[in-house]
Amino acid sequence: MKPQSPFKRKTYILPTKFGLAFLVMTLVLFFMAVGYANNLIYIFVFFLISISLTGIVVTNRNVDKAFVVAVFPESNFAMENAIVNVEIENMGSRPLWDLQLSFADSEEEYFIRKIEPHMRVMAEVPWRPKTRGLKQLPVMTLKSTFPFGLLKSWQKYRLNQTVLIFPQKVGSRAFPPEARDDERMQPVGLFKEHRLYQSSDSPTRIDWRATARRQEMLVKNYEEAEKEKLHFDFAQTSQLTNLEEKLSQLTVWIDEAEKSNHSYSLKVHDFVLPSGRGPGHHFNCLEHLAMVEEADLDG
Amino acid sequence: MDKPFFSQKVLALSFLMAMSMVAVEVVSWVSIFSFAVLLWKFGSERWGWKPLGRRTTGVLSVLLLLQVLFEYRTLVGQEPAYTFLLGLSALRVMDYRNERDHRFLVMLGFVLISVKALFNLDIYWVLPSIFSFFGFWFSLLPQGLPGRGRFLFRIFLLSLPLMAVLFFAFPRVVMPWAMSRGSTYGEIGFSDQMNPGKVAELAGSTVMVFRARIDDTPLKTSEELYWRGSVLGNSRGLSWRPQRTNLKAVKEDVPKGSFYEVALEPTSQNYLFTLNGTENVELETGSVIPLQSGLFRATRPLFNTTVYRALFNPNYIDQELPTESDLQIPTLSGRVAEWVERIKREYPKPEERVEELKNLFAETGFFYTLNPGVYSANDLEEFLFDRKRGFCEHFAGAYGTLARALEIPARVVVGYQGGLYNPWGDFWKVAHKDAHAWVEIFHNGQWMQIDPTRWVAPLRLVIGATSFFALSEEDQRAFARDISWKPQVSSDLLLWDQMTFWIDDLNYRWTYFLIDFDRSAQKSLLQEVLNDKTRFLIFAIVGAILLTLLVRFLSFGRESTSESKRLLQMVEAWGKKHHVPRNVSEPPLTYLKRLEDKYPNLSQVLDDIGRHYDQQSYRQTPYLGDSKKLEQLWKTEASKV
Amino acid sequence: MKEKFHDLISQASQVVLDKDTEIRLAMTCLLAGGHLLIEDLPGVGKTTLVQALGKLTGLRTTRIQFTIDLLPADVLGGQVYHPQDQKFVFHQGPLFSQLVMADELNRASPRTQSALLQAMEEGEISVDGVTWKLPKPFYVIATQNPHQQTGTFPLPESQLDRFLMSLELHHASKNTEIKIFQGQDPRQLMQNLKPVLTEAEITKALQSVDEVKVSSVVASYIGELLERSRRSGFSGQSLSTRAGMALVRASKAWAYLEGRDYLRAEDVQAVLIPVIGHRIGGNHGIKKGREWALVLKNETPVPL
Repeated sequence: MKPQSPFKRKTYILPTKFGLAFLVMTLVLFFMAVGYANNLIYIFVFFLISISLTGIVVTNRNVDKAFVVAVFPESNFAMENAIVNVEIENMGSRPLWDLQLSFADSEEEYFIRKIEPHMRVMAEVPWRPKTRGLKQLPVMTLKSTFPFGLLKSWQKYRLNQTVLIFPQKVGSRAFPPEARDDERMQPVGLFKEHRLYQSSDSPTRIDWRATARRQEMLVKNYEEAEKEKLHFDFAQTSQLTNLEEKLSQLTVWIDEAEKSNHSYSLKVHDFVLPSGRGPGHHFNCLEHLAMVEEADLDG
Repeated sequence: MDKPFFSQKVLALSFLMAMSMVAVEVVSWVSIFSFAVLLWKFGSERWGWKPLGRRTTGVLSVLLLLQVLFEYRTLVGQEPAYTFLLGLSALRVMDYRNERDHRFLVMLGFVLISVKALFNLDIYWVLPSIFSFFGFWFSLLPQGLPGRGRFLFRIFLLSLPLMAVLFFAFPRVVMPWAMSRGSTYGEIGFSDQMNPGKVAELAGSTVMVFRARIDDTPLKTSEELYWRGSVLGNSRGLSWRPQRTNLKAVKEDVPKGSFYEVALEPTSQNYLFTLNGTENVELETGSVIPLQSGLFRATRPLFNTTVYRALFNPNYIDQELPTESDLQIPTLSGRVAEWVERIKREYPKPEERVEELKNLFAETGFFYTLNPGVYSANDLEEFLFDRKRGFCEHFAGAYGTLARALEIPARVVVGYQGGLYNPWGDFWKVAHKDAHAWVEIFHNGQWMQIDPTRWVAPLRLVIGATSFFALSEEDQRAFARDISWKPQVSSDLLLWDQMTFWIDDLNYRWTYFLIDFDRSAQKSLLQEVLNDKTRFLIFAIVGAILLTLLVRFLSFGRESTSESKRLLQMVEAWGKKHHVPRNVSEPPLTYLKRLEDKYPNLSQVLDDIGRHYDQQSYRQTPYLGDSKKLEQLWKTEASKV
Repeated sequence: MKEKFHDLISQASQVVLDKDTEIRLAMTCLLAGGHLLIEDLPGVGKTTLVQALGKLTGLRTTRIQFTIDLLPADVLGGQVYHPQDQKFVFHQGPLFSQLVMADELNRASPRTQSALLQAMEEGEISVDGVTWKLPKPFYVIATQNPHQQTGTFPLPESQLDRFLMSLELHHASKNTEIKIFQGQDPRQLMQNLKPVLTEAEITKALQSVDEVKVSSVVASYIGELLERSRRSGFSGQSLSTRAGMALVRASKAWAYLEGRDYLRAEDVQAVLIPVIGHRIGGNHGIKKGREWALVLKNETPVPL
């Protein structure tokens, strides 16, 4: 998906729990100074206050100069740990430290130790999508408590990105018997693809026919024995009651098929995806499963 | 994973320092306990000892609390509170495991440093306090941050101006709720009880009592300085007891004299030590009660270092008539009684009796020593005729009793004599070592000072107690009466003396500044600053310039090549608005050329901006033109389009 | 000094028509002290170009025509028995020259190829335990025909980064071809060419190129390019820091030819495709690599 820049945001700042305790301590010391009319404690308390104030500026700046420049969400399965690549740029002229990125619904966060001035860093922000379909990314928070942990400064991003989330992988990994193909398996020897010849290859590997056709030196890339074709159908999930469960089961099957190098096809009522293999085919099948609605299944 | 405590050297050192600073002020058992716990923690980290669990430390905390309550009968009070605090700190170190513990410990550390400030304002503690303060903040910084020290130092410097402003401008209010020391512990301090040996005990300590600035008065030598503390009117032979002293009658006229100033360390008592001849004493905070016999008391016990000003009258004469109580003595017996009878018979005139008293002490081989041996309360006879060894209190007590026996009204004064002069700061430092007792007799219509020590060991008065008692016993004995004798001093001792004087002076100024900067001083400072407008203006301008320079210099990292970049950003923003945006991969100069083609009117200014950028960002040489003007030019030209 | 180079380029352009940019890039490669790989169909002027450059720079030029049966010794040289002296004497091969044209490198066997590539890398040759240093400066301009039909051994991509830059020459445009047909015989023109530079001047130029300033903006641009090539979304191979250094060297040389002693982002962009085109193709060949290089160039933002 082509990345877009999210909206610009405001930087907020508040004391952390530690900061509040610190404030209480400072107040106590302040009353001590007043009560005993002790100038040394006054100096001390005022220094504490003054450093805290400087800290406010530092903490705020540390987050304010960070900009989210691009977001690269990737499709993933529901209820699995996913990450979204987020590119952060430091627009300031001083390094930024200890930034934490997290999504609203997630406990985990991604920690960036340092961003050099005018440089960018790619963060892998953890996310756990709950349901399938075309999902809006949740609100992302960029925050930091640098340097002392007394104050917390943050920005919230409403990312205008949608991500396709495939159904959760739940179900048996064993293929249904109906899915197996009746056709005989093809003999060993079918290649996967051609690739360009390099001088480090042995000349005996050259596929001359293909080369003659394509005007480039080609070599066959062999692979393991051909796997049988599989045909998946929505009807094969009849023993499950819930739509989500059915979709999840089909997802498991498709994923397994892809992993073990079968080629497979998918049929969901009127929708048919012919046999194929590879990341593109995998995506197409899962995409359809992700977008299935109740209404599509009637009739 | 548990966070190690001692491996974090800065944190551990800072916290240990803070604990040590407080430990020297509180009672020893808690210090021993605390350091034992620390050692245990160290052992558990370094040598694999089993540490105490949180439950155990919890129980220990409660036990500590109980012990403190038992000892002090209260928790409300400086000493019990800080004792508990110290022990608690050690237990928290034992508990130290995670980030939360760390933060709590840092806060405890700050509190410990503040607590130290309550006990002691000396400049000697400022350095370790600063180090600990720095160390605690340092430990709060993330560990992976490179150059933590420098970073923190910069933050400190940036925060200093605000701190100074707050300190000087924040109004000082005096609150009466200060916690009492709450201590039933005896400290070595001045008291009215003069049992034989009490003053000597006091004089065993080198702790400083007060510092005095007397340069306006005509008193210049150690000999001349007698500081009155209390007057004892109840004779028990060798020892004396105080008697109720009445308030002094208020004088109508304001006598003439010169002022001197005393900075008194906290005593938890009401005594105000004054020179002989003091007419009037003023405290900054609180009132003074003038008593008869030239004594002054504060209305409240002094828990803080206190400064007071006194008026010295060189022509002061105490002509208060003596009463019967000034002749009170216990029944005398033995050789004492015999001597008294003889003198009464042979010398009817008071002057002659005074002379005889002097002869008794000066001529009959008395020894002045800090360690005369223990006398029981009634060994007046033993002292006068057998042992003949005593400290000032013995001489004074004996003299006083004998004088009264000879029908001369007399009273014993206890206080301090002399002091150590600090040439750097031009002040006198009086310590417990200078504790002294002398006599006053009513003779020729006025109360006169008689110091028997002058006859027995005048050297002590001339060179001061510190120097005198620094000599060996033999030297003391040999040279006690030789006032011209100067102790041999090697040259590096002289240097060391100089150094000590200088540091002492620094410390004096520092504590003086700290105590003295209160409401009135602040008011006067502000008035001084605000009244003179020009001075204020200069002050403010200089301050502002310094502040800006400081901020600029210390801003974390400097903005580089900002002008040319800013100009380009301006052009870019303009281009975007006019639908000629810069493609991300289009170099700036190429983009400018493209704009020039599209907007020939702007070609001159765009060309200049391009050249500016080329110089600053690519060539990295300073641009010789005026970038501000260029910016203006762009704004005007661009708006025309 | 710059004028001399411009003069050189214009003279060369007269001989090899309509290839101004390519000649300039070839010159850039030489000034950056790197080896050049020229890819294209035969007969579009590769050989002419190299010969012209050889003549104009005054460098000692040799041409090695690689064939399938060429042995390493034919390139490097070998021991020859001298009966008079009764011993073997090493005869230097055609590689011992300042500008070596390795024509149709992809026709030679891998063994012979690697002999040349190794010499390029190390600047010296080891034969029978004796090391012979190659002359300085030493350039190899290799050519290969990517559309070659049978009988070639294209260079493996791991060796391609021995070449600083790679160029593609195309057929001349129709108008230019007409001019060529009508004009003088290039071989004749070639004979009239005289050296424009001395060796000392070349050495000095190389030093000046080295001293061209790289500002932080340009350095961060280059860094950005490298970083983008390493992203998971990018189809091409990741670029190494060595590629970045190559980019810097080539950009400096380009800037020098422009008459500057400091780099601009434009310089980097000018040499980008030649420098990294053959490094990011991977399995897919140089042509694909150049496409991806173009994508990289268009997508990487130039920082202000």
